[in-house]
Amino acid sequence: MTYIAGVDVGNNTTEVAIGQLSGKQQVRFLSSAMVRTVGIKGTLSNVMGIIDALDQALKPLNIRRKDLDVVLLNEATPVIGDIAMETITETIITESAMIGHNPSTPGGQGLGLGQTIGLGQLETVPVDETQWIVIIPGTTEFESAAAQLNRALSRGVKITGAIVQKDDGVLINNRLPHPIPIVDEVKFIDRVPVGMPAAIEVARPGRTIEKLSNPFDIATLFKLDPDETRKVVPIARALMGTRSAVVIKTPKGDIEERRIPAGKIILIGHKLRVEVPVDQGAEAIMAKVADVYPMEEVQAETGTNVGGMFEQVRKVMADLTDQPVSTIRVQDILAVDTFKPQQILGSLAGEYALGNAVGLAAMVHTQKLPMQRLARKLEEEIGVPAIVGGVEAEMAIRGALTTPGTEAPLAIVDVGGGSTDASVISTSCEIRSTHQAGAGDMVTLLINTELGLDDFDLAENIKKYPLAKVESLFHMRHEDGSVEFFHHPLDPRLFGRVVVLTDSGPVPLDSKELLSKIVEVRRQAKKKVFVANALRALKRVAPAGNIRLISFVALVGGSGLDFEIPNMISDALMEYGVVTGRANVRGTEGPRNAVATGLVLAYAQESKD
Amino acid sequence: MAEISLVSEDRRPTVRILACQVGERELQPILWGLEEEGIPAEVENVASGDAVALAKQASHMSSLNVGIALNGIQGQIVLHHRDLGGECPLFTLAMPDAGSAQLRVLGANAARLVKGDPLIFQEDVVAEDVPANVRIDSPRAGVEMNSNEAEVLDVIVRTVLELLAKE
Repeated sequence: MTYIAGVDVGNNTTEVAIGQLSGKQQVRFLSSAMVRTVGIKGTLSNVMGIIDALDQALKPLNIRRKDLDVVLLNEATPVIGDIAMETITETIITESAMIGHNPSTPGGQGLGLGQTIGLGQLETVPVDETQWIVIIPGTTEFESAAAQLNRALSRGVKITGAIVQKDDGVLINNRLPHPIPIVDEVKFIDRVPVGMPAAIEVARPGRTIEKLSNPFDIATLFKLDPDETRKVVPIARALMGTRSAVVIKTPKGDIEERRIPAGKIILIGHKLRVEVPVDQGAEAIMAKVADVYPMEEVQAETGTNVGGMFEQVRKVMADLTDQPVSTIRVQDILAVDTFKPQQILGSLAGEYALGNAVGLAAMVHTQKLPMQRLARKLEEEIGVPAIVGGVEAEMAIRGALTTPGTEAPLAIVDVGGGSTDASVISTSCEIRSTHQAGAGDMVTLLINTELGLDDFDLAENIKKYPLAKVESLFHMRHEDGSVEFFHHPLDPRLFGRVVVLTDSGPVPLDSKELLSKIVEVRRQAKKKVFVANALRALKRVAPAGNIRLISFVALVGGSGLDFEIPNMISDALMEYGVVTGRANVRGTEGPRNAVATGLVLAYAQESKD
Repeated sequence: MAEISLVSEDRRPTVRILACQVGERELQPILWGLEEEGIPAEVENVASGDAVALAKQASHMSSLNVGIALNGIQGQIVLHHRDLGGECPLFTLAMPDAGSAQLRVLGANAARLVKGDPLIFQEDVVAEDVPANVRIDSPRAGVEMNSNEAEVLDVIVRTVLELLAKE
């Protein structure tokens, strides 16, 4: 009787399968276990995680570690990925010229045009046809502000709108004889220039502004010439979708949308060498990547932003693998178009404008990870022979083939954190595999950027878990529309908020974005990375590059457990007539444990031969 | 306690406020908070009553299920919701310390509770001249609260079952 353990050390998890080899060289699987990988994959600190996983798997079997005959380690794929974001456009407003934001409760509604004036100056202005937009600083209580406005109105002064620092818009408006549009919660009110023509617009509840988000309406209001109209386009764009806005025409006010010279990417293939400027966008870059395939190396123009990013990636890789930077070569990239909300320079209420950006994932092949060294260390620690088994991709396929209902030709897709891997086994048992840049970490980056979170842990949670909206102290509505009731009141901090339903309970989001917008960003990010990369990877390994020639595609690894990725990839592969699904290794393990299982099976077969 | 009918004749949708021995200084900012958020409120003066119990009562009187009570003698201001346990109000302010800004936030929160908008928490408000000694009876996801309520629930269930068994 022989007991064998297959061990798969991955970037995130360490998985174990325990098998029993009986006399007829038949394998019977006894148990499996999974723990978090300790340390970076391939380093000696992994041993602690391996021992922990072994113990977990052996405990229910009443087998001691010493009783194991052999421990098989995977030959881990020496692939590491990294990600970065490159902005291509940004909006700069050199002189404060617009306010466009969404205070929760602006006052009044409609459009007002006039000249800006401080509240204090209102007393002394002559009564004529001039229309005024009054600036009310936070030092003035709303009651006295309203009283001063009313005094001026009764003198016959024409007031068409107000800009208020505090959250007093509704209170002031309610104390005026006629409603006027009021934008409140303007943080930097002292930056609002006085004596300038300005337009103010507040939309009805549930609507967004119509005039100030249209460049031609701004041109009409301020009598702009075509040249000036061109310049207000970024303003109009930044104001789209807000409920209230102010535009002020300053004499020297200069707004520009600047394109940042992001640099070029140089793709070096076996036959071709192609340069693509990053600011042409992701589509152009990826088209060229496909042209150049098979790729030798990807370089970037030095001294540019993208050049800096590549240097950074190579330096991280060099540190991780303990190799000189000069030997590190980027071998694949995935480019994705994205938006980056950027604080507008010279803004008055912390406004954002969406800048275009390109997200880049890069992947580096390293020399073999020192698994041999790890095996020796493990042997020392547990006193059981440890050997490095077959290639990871092969083992994964063997494991995946234990999924009921599958047979060769079978392809597996493993979406990890840093890379997306695919392998295919043909009817003649030939195995081809590929690694692509761009996977889970890239999706996290896109979510983090597009929602302007500036919090990677939160972005990671948004990627991994569904959302809900807490609608009362006792119930929340899930993103699919279903309602869940609670017997105990929810934390008031969750009330009215969008929450991420993590394993450790709901986490509130600070964002003002609607739940549907966040869901959309999440799904788009997954589509742009996971689905696009799964297709790209399958095309590379499929016979004759044709996905249709694969009969079965099984998703393995942690991403197979994601709540929506399997369905998204399935949908995308439907048109190729491929049976796609989450692997069910040994009919019991789901998408997990494929490599560990494969290791045990391969060992059993070898000892038979 | 004053005699106040639980079923108000006038069922205008309002946040109900029961005021006991308080002046405009406390009441007004709460009303402003509600006004800015666009939710109507109705104030009624009562002679006496515990602030928490009054707030609970106010929430039952309100067709929006939200009630506020101010008790000048106790020095307490309480925001309550009909669905919460009687002894577990949402927010409690101590009167002499609560500045006008805090009171306005309490009013705004009452309105937001009706609208389903995220609540404002004192520490999130940019500190103006607000003393930070507000007691927030919040994390009710907390274990103690739950076990406490679970016990009460348990007792009720057992009593009901016993009564049923007798019949």
